[in-house]
Amino acid sequence: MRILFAYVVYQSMPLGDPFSSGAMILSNKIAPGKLQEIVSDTKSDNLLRPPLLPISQMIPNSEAALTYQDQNKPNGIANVVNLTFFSKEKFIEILPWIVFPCLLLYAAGIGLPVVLPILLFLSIGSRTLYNSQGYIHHGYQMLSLILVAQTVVVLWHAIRGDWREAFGLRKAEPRHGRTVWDWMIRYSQWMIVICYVIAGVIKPIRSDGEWFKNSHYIGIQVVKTHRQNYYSDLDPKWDIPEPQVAKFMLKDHPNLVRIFLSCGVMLEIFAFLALYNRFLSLAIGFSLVLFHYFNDLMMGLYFYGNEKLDWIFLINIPFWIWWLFLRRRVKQEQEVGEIEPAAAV
Amino acid sequence: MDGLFGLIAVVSLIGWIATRYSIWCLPFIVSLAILAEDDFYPLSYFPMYSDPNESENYLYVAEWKDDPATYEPIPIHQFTGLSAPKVKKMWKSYRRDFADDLHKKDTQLTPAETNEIAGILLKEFSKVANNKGSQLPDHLALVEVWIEATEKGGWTETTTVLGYLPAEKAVPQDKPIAEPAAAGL
Repeated sequence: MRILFAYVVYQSMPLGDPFSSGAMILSNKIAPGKLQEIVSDTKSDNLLRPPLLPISQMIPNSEAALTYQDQNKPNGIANVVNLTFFSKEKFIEILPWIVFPCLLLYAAGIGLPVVLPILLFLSIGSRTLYNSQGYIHHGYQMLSLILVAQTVVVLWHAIRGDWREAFGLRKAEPRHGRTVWDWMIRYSQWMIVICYVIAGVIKPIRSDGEWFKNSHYIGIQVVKTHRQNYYSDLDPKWDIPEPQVAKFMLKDHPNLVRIFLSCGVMLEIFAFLALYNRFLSLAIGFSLVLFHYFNDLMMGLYFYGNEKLDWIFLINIPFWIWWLFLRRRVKQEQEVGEIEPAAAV
Repeated sequence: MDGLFGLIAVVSLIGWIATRYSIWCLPFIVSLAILAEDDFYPLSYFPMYSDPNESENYLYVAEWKDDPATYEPIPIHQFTGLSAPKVKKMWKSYRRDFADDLHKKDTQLTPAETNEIAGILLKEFSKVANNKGSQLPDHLALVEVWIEATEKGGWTETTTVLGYLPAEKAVPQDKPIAEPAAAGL
């Protein structure tokens, strides 16, 4: 789990070249042009979707380096700290030398009280600078919140628990039935479901309770998204005078659309039930992945970062492989469906 | 509403500290995020699609040559790395700040003030393009389109030019230029 999370954190870091095109460079050495061919064609890029992500989102590319020389519309910590150093050439050069050792140590579980605050600062700092240009991007809040949660848990454990365990110098022992890793995972799961709950509850609040009645008007937003996608690059693929999805929502089946979209909002509001047990975690995690897929399909609205975190922390494939094939072999009983101590604590 | 969420946040925090039940972090962070809106990364109230109604707008950047009334859209993302949704978000943000400086609501801005903000924003786009090593055309227009649902389940699209760059070369105007609506469906 922590290796996969380290991988997603790597993908979110603004390391620039050669890391932002690292997969292409690697693949060109093995099969020149093949990967480029796959990811540049929408159909082949989405070959595994659903349920998996587009191939371009799974390959080891980091984010591009930041190029912002000022922060005209400061957001969050940018109100007190000048974060433009994230765009300075020298900092971009040394950034991989900070990020890679931290991620390796994180994956190995060593030095977390030092490593996590560094990763947290890099994540919040770079994304805050990005969001301080007059537009807000909503792709990485969940990841940064998970880093916040893990940092707080590990620092708390270093101060109030056993600092040797927190630094990975001693095997983590359960306290009140849970190790420090259990707590880190539990609070990471909380951060994920909290993001969905926020997105769910804000809808009836901001629309004065009219969201469910007006939800078919999202067809208008679909038209807007098509137009915006077209005018960004003048891509003829998006030059569609009457998008079929919008027609379906506004004219053909507005009531069906209201029901379908309301199910999505209910899923967001009740996402916290995923923490009740592993079965619900799997079911809700998978439903959220499908929810993202339909958002992408219908509105071109994608949150690949959030999908990856759903796969890692809610669906948790490695656990189910273990449960299906290895559980009996290691003779370790773990009743699935039973309330875990964490759900009760 | 802010008071209610402030109260929930405080009660949740007290409950969390007193009981150590992790579930308290749910109402605590949800309330905090709703209060923070989008002003304190990594907190966000994720406002996308939260208030659907019968009208919505989008913006694009266009180039004009001799006559400002005749313009052609340009692929702004290729020049600046800014997509059309970001152009709209920047427009809203610049408009709100401009209105705040004048101590009025952004809905009360005059057409002349709107033109001025559009000019500022177009200059900013040129700067962003330069930082990326590309060059935007000299003559630019910021165009807004309103999509409105019709009673029959279709929609109309109405185009308005918000402002030009360079403003002095463009046709002086008392109000933004509105074009005839394009009907959908």
